[in-house]
Amino acid sequence: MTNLTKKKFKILIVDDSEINRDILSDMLSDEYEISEAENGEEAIALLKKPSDEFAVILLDIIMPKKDGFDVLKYMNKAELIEKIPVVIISSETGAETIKLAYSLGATDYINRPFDRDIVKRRVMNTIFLYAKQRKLQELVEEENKKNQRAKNLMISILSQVIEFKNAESGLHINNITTLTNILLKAVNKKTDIYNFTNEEIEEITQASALHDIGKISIPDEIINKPGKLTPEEFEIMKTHSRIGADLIRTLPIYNEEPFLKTVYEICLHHHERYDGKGYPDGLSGDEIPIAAQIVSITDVYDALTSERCYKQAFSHKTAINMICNGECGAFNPLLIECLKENENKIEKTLENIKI
Amino acid sequence: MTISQFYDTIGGNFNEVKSRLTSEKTVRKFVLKYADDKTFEALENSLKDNDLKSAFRAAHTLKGICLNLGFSDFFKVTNELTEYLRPLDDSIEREQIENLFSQMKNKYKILINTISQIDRD
Repeated sequence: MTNLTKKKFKILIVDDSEINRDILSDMLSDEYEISEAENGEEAIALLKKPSDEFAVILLDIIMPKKDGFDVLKYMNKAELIEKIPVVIISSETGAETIKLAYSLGATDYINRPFDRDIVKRRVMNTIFLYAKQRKLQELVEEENKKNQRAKNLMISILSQVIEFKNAESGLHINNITTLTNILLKAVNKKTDIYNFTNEEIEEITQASALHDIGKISIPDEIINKPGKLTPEEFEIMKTHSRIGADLIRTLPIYNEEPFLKTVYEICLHHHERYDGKGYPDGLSGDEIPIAAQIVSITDVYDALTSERCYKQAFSHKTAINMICNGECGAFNPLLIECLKENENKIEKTLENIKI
Repeated sequence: MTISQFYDTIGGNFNEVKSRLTSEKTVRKFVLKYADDKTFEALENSLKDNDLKSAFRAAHTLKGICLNLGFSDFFKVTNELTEYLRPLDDSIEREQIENLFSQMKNKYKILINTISQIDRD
């Protein structure tokens, strides 16, 4: 216990009365580092500073400018309410006020008049409880990160195998995943249709790296042919979508892993066209899973901006224009808008991974 | 006047306050500090401007201070005005505000006057 208190946790006292703040500060300043705010507005300003990490906030409710409820609402919006415990110190004793404070995420309530021993004990208990919870959370997060790393590693190896087969540079997959990620976030920002969760964004981004996995079974002479494919060769080339999808679907754990379903959809449908003229199933519009639509547009962008044995690389700007003008396929207008609106961001981000 | 005599004069329980704030020195420090507190003036000005919302807030703050410092008599009248103002609607009558506020003002004068009689170090 002493170990923890030695660290001098920071406490934020929010009360419009200086005397009340001083009384609390007097009770707590031996063991804690104290910051003060005289209204909700000041408190929110302090919470916005990344340098100040408070172990607990003692919050009055009725205050000028912004009140205690405003502070709680801000903390909910800024996702701070999970991280910093809030103890209400209002002299409001009405059940409604207290209930509202609790419903907004306050953890505890200290009645007035303040009693030194009770205040100290409450503050300490709250800090330890949260410290314990945080510790557990960190352990879980660390474990998740480890799993994620292992998964990333396997995906990198797999995509490297495909790249090797394609005789393409290692940047190809990086471009695809980066652009997929940017577009997913852009779609989320622009519309409520899909509302991808962070987890979904992560999964689709990873899955996009595996879109060409079926090329493993296409003969090298076709994949690396320096020139236009004959119609027969093109038919063989086109089979990579279904081959990749089958490869994933026949995995024994296919049904247990939702991630594999995403990979499957992307493999199978990343050459469909929004106007229905793509392959293998000729799906059109929103029949094409959105993840596959996104990978499709990123794949085209990447192909345009890469040098191939039969063509030179187009510039970023030209590639975007060609896609938007419909010269290289038909895409969901929503995705075209997202592409256009994030043109600069895409250029900068992809430029950075090259270095 | 000792701090204990001060509480007897203004109507308050010194031992209760001392047990909460843990030392006579601390109680003394905050009681003396209260003489400089501007919340009462803020209340008076808000009432003058007929700004009932601010008046309620100031009265409420004052109520919290009274509770913490154990100013029981002053708390009672402050609490009455606070609760009278709380609805912040048409039910509030100017006359009744004046009435409650003048009671508060009397108690406040006694309080400040008595604080000035506390022995200084």
